[in-house]
Amino acid sequence: MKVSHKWLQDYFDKKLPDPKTIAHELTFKAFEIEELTEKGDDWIFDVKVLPNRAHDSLSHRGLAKEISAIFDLPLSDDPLRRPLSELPASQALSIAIDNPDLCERYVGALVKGVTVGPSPDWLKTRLEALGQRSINNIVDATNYVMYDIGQPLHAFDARRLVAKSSEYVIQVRSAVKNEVFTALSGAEYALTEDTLVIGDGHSGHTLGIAGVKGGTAAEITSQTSDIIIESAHFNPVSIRKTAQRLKLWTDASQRFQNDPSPELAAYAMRQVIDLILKIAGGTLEGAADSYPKKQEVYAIPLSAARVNALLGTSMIQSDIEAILKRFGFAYEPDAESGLIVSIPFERLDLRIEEDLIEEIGRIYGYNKIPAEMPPALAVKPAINKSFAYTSAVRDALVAQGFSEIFTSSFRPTGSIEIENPLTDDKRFLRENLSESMKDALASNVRNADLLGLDQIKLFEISATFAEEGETLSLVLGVANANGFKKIKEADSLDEGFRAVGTALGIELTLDEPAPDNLFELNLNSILEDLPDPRGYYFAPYPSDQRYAPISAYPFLIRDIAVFIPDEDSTSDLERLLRGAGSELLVRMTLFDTFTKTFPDGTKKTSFAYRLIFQAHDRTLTDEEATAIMEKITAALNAQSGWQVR
Amino acid sequence: MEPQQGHLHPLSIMIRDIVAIFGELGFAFAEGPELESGYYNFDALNFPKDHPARDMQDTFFIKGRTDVMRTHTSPVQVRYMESHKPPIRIIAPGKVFRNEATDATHEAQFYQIEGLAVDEHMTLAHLKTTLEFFFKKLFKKDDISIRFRSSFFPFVEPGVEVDMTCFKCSGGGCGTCKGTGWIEIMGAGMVHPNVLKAAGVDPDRYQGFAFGGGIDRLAMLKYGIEDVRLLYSGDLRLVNQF
Repeated sequence: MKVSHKWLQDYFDKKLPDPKTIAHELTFKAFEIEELTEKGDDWIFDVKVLPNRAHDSLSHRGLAKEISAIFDLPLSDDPLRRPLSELPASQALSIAIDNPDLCERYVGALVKGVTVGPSPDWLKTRLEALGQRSINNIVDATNYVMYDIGQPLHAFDARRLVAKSSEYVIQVRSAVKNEVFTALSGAEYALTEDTLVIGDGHSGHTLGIAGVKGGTAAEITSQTSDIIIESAHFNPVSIRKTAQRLKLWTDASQRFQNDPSPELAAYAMRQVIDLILKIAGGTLEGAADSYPKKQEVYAIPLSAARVNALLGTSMIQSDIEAILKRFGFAYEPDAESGLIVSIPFERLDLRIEEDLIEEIGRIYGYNKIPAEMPPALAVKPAINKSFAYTSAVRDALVAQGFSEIFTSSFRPTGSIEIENPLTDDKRFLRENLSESMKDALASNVRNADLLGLDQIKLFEISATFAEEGETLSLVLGVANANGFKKIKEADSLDEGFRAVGTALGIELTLDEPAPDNLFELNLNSILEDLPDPRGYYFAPYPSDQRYAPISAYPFLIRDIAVFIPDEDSTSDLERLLRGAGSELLVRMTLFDTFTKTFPDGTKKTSFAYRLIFQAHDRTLTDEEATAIMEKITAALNAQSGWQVR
Repeated sequence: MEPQQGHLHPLSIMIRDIVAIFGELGFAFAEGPELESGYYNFDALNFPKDHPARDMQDTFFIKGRTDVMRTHTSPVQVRYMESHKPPIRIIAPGKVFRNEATDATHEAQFYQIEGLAVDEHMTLAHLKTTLEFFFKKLFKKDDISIRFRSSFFPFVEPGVEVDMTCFKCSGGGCGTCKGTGWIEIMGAGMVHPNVLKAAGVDPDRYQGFAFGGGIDRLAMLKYGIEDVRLLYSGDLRLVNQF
């Protein structure tokens, strides 16, 4: 929500701190300021008001109250504390509410003889600062009061309603099934009976979607002379559902769905009538207020002991009273709790002592909270059986050369369907881990050379989902790359499987070779029968990992073999390879060794390496790879007694 | 040729570290289902029905049921409180699900770490010190501190956002912390009495603090992993670096 620094300043006699200071303090003590931008001679705050305060703080008055409490600057004039005199009862307007549970209050006022025209400059400037278009003085006035004190308002052209016996009737009712409504924007909406609308009680025409958007039927135009102003309270759930259903979210619906106080409607009506009379002329004929159940008044106990018990501070009652004064909360001493605090009507979020303690804490400053270690418990923490055993399984598999993967719980098939999946191929919860394992084996095999592996060995431990419930499962998979034949996949899988058994303290063997060389296991049923572990015994694991981003570009493979005399070592060889290969050489893997005695009696060993080249910012060309190989070959051949094959 | 070395997934490494660190403070590892009831995911945590507070978390709903894929590990707190009497010290690392468009910093599934401590005497001061202890140990830096900013979550009151000193620049400002010297890292607060009550804990006798944050985020920060989606791609080019 955007608010203007100049508009906020209107609330104070004293000059406000600079916008950056205000933004900083608000972010810590009230609401996050997502952006602060300079706009002409004004500054605009983009304020993130969370759901707990959206009922009272989506307005300049709400922000001004926060600033007042944070900086201890009283408001010069609070629109919600001005005495509210009753408006004269209208003889020409009545309200009929069909669904009182969906509309707790409706105040309607008839103002006759206004002159619709452009707004005065100050009003245009105010609205444009928030990025809002000026439309005409009537509509602008209603928007101004909404942005000022948070109550959405609407104005209808009265003459577009039918008067019977000189009386208009505003009816709050359900829409007729499938009726088409044309909004002020020109867009058309098909309404359902779930939609609350404002209608002409005599003609039956629909004038607006209650709390969301007005319609063209009674639009304010330059011809308008008499207006009916609406200031109401609508059921927040109904408004939220309607906005979602029609995909029509407005400043009005945003405020109504957060349930502002119905008391606010009267203040807003008074304020907008005063403003309209001032800038558009006219006379107030009267108002009708349907408000059967008045909002309750709340008072909450507050004790210093409880404040300190929750915050960990050492405040005394006078510290607390000083903060209550900043908020303008009236309070009285109380024998039992210390204080009883009167809650102002607009703060619907303050209902229990903890709510007040938060107000005290955030203004006091969370930075003042001292350091204190929580009391130690007498007993050692319980061991999580599942975590203990799965950790042992992980360690055993890692020792066997298996690497752990995590994959998506969502798959294109399964028995439990997601109502609102992200994509079609993630429509179901996975019933097994094997399908993801198959995919992972295949994609890692493609990168085998880059990884420097002949055999891909993977495992995953995760939940699988079926109608009967959620199961913890383990899957192992093995795949050979590049026609590797030295070690059979089935043998590696079997080794892994046995290692899992050892870790669990049971015997696990594969009775027959596993299809696709992967095997899945239900861990829940196994864990049930295992004894409770006495601790976590994590195998030591290196903790100095450094991660280098993975290149998105393809890699190139080159092989090289070189005879080196016995006195020289592979570490010399590797050092030379790295040097000549540069950072483009991302991996070298020794894949063959043999020793040969030459005719002259010398013994040399041939080492064959697979070299992988890859760049981080481009696709390497064959020419580039060839050039590097030439460099490498030259470097190796330069060594005395070395011979590249 | 050396025998092939296997690798743990970086999130598993991180979870072990977290379990060990909190184990020193007496916190036990608690678990709960990933496919959760709407009751445990929202109602028991003080989210009013049909309220904008539920929009704060994009939920995957299960077709034909009122169940959801849990959007946070907070339901584990409620389940644990229902079955254990205070004093309570638990952490609940686990997989959670959010229906958000995926990109380098957002995935539909990720891991969260939730913590709960309930006792006759438990304050925000205890929460602050507990978190400072945790981050110092996790990032292996003694000069890490945390700060609270006023915020809102339905299951805590007061509710706060937690920032930690940037471990890369120790608060001086750098690329990791976008020059601010601080990293937004968790949400936390004092457990709302409605949540205690719903779980069968007497709020007049007991208080608790709770905190929650993303483990993926911690791993990405600590190891410099640039794209969260890599953690779930089953790709050894990532895993075998750890």
